[in-house]
Amino acid sequence: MAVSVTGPDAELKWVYHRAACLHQWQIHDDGVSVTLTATLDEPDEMRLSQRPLTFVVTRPTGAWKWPVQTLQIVDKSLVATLGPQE
Amino acid sequence: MARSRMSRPEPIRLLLSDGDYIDVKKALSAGEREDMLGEIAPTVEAGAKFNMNTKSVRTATIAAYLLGWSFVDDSGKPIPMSPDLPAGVIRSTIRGLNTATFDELFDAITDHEKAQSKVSADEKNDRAGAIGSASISPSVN
Repeated sequence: MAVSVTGPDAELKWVYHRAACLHQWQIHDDGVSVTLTATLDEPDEMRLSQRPLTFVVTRPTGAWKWPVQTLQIVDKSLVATLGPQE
Repeated sequence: MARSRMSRPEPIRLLLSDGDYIDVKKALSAGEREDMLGEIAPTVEAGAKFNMNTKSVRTATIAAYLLGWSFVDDSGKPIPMSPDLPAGVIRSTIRGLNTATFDELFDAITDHEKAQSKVSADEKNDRAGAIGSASISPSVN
């Protein structure tokens, strides 16, 4: 069964450095792969070029984290495939 | 193979008293060190005596390295600490610690900084030795 989760704000991190802020993000899990789409804000080009990157959603009791496996950025649109949630 | 000269972010956990811990940067990048020195000595005039803002030295050092901690408030609620917090929030949170905890943090980070400096110096010496060895020409006699 496909599952989608959406949220207003999140981050891409290079270890502990913020590589970019993300807005209006959506994760779609179709059972085969997990795809992230979001609007990119305040990108740090150097940090975005580094690996590993992690998609981080801050929650009141901690954070949800997924490793970024592939990343495509066109203007301010971001599409990424994510690995299993950490 | 050429070695990378870029700073790679790497967190390290330092254990404190009473089961607490802090997460710190293994090493500062050049920019992070510049920012820390800018806090400590914001203006240095050429030829003038180097004046440090001694009030900021320890806070700036802790703030430069600190990534997170296990600290909680009086009600047991975690006290937020992250390099993504605004600099003013990080600074005021650090300054709000009791003096014993502040000193313990500074000592732990200073010890960590010294240990990392020694590791870096040893690595540099190893590389210098390797370069020296490689540059020796074979005997032609």
